[in-house]
Amino acid sequence: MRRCALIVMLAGVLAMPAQAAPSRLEQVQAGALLRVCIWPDYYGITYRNPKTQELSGIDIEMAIELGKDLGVEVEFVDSSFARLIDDLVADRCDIAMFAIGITPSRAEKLRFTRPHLASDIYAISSKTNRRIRDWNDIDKPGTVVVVAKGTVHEPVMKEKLKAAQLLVLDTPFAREQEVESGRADVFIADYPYSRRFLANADWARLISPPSTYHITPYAYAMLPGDDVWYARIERFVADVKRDGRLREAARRYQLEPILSP
Amino acid sequence: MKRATRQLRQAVLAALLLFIGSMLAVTGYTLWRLRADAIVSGLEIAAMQAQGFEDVLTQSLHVSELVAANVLPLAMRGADRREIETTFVTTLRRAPFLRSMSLLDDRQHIVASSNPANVGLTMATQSYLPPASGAQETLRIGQPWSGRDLADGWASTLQTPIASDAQSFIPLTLTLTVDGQSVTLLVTLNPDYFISRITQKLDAAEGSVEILRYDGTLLMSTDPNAQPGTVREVQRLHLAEVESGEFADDSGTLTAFRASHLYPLVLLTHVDLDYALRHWRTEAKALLSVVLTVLLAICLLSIAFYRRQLQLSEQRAESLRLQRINATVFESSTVAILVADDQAKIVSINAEFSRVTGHRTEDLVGHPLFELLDAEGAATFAEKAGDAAPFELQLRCRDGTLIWTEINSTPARDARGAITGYHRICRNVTERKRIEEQVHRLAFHDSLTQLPNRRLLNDRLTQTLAACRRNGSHGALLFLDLDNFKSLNDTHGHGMGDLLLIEVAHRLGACVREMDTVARFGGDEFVVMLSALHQGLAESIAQAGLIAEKIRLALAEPYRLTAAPDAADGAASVEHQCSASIGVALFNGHEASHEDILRWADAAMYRAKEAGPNLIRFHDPAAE
Repeated sequence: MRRCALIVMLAGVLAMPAQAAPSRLEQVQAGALLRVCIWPDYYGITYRNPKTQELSGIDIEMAIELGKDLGVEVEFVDSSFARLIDDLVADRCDIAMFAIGITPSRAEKLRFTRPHLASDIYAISSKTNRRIRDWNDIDKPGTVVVVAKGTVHEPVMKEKLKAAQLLVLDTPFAREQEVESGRADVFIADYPYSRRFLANADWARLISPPSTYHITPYAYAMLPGDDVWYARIERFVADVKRDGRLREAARRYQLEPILSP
Repeated sequence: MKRATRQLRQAVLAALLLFIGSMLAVTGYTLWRLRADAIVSGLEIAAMQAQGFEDVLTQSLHVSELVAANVLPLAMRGADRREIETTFVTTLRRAPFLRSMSLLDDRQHIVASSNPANVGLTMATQSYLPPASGAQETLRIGQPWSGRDLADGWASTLQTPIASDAQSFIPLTLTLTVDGQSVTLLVTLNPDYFISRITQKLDAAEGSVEILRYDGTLLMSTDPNAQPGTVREVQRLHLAEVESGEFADDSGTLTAFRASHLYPLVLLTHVDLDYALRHWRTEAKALLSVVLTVLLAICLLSIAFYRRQLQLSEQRAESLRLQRINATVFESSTVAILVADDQAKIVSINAEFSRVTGHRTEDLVGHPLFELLDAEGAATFAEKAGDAAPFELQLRCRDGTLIWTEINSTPARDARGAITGYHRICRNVTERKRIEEQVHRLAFHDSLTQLPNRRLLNDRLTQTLAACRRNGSHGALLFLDLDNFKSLNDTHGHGMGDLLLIEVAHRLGACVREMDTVARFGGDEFVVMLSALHQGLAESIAQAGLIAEKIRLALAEPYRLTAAPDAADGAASVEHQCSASIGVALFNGHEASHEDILRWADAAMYRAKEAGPNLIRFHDPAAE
């Protein structure tokens, strides 16, 4: 049923250029509003501080820069990796800007800009956890590993874990709650999330893979089929990379090590 | 000498040992006090931390109780399992100190749980503390369990405690009974949450914290080797009387305990003694290094001081020995010696000086040397004040007589080495002076008559000639030869002759003035020199004639010569008649040398002898 609806919608989208439908760029500029999908749990990328409700992160700044370049207001729309495709298809936002990992399954449905970041996978455990000392202790019987639903980590860990139990959760900050309460042993995160999280959680401990584990390029995503809109966003990414706005923001959030070339 | 050295060594050693001993005692006492302070402060820290940790623990359990108070009425109302479980999951998101929440029916079956795997399990909660007592809502605490949750865990017992590296949790129950129907909320406490919070404040190297149930069961510990479920000794804490306190274990651990103010739990903070004393150790090392360095320095200085003292005492002894030798030499010297300083103050006199002069040491020492000088001596001394050359001076004896001293001088110098005066050493040389005078007398006088001899006469004649040339006066030389001398010698011996010569000398001396000279020229020849006669020749001749006549008469008087009783000649007394032939030569110092004058007078005497005896003849230049 859901698949049928998707096919109908895709058909509609594909039909649009034939009718010379106006580009999303024109719509955005006409409405003077850019709607950007973000995941407000994403430390260092698009994070909403629960105490102040303020947004911060490299992609929050990039979205504001995009709004400036287009001469429009920016509206942030809460999303998540689990809801990402739905939110774009349902036109709840014009673009998703929260360091979305380029995966084949997503690439089937979304169009990605060139990557601006690239991150490996990291695990975070509790300092008091005496069973998990290093990366090799993770994939053991009895270990519970948590990933956030819809993230790059979900398919990667599903594929890689042989003995450990994988727990896929979708509530805000569920990963760290499960690990802190002891219901799980580690949670999986990327570079930006793990670094920003560890800066403020004194009970937690970073477990890095001994060598490169699984590097995922991060980019912005939009629906396919609108070449004008895509070209404008691609130009923006090229612009911020060239004029240093991206590097400057990355420096502020200590993300320079994972800047994409 | 040896004994003094030994005494000095013993004194230095004793003082040094006393000092080192007291320094070490003071240092030891200070360190002991600092250590006691460190232990007290360690106990205070343990107590403070115990208070903080107990607060977190009690607050968390209290929150569990509040949660139960919200959830249980829901179950009472007969809410369905899904609704209850959703509430559980929502609650757990904000309570990281809880691992799971379950609902037990009155048969202790789990009917709903945040972890669906728990549903259906039967719980044995009889042994939970405190024991169930009627309908009272009390949070009861169970044995620690090994595992992640009830579904995969097992309750520990005394015989099977939980492995130190295993995951564990603690079940807690709260029962609500309404109208005979009871529901129980069972929450599992996450020990990691508390251990994590505690280890952030108290590192494993610094100490450990244990949380015990009142019966002593170890619920959790920050010690990585502890096994929850084992039992600790808690009787000695006397929790019924006092709920907090601190003590130092025999094992070298500082322990503070504090009971939860709401639940039957007690928290023990053990601070490692080594950790509590780490600052003290640093301080002790610093203090000891300073003290030991100072002590070492003082020891070295003392040894240096001791050796210096030894050296000085040896030098002093040597100098004392030399002084004694010097004093002995000075005191026992047969020469009378007086020493005066550069201010001409008398410093010392020796025994001989005292003996010779009659002055006592105490009367002289400190007095000016001038007290012993007459006017002439004072003048001489003043004249020689700046002179280092030896000179002679007369010092007055106690009886007023004078002795001759030779003064030797040693310069006294100021700090820059400039001479400020002279130390004077006065040696008695009176005897030498006397001998010198005697030698002088023997050289210039006739030993028989004590009259000046020919050599002295020559001197006097030279002086008189010079005087005559100066003042234009005339002098006269009378040459005398006894007329009848040989017969006396022949008849009465040389002894009588000598007596006659002595008598003649005596009579000659009585006939002339003080300024005139009577000399024995040899044998029975005498010369009388008259000086300072008149300036006119005639008057001078008259004067000389008068004196010559007076002499002729005096010598012509009969002589009574008495020899010494034991004289070989036997004759005790001889009556003798004798006369003299006298030749007179006048001079005024211009016309002739004294050889000429003597020759003239001699010639005139021969003429008198030829004509005489007992005649006076004047030198006649025309006749010569």
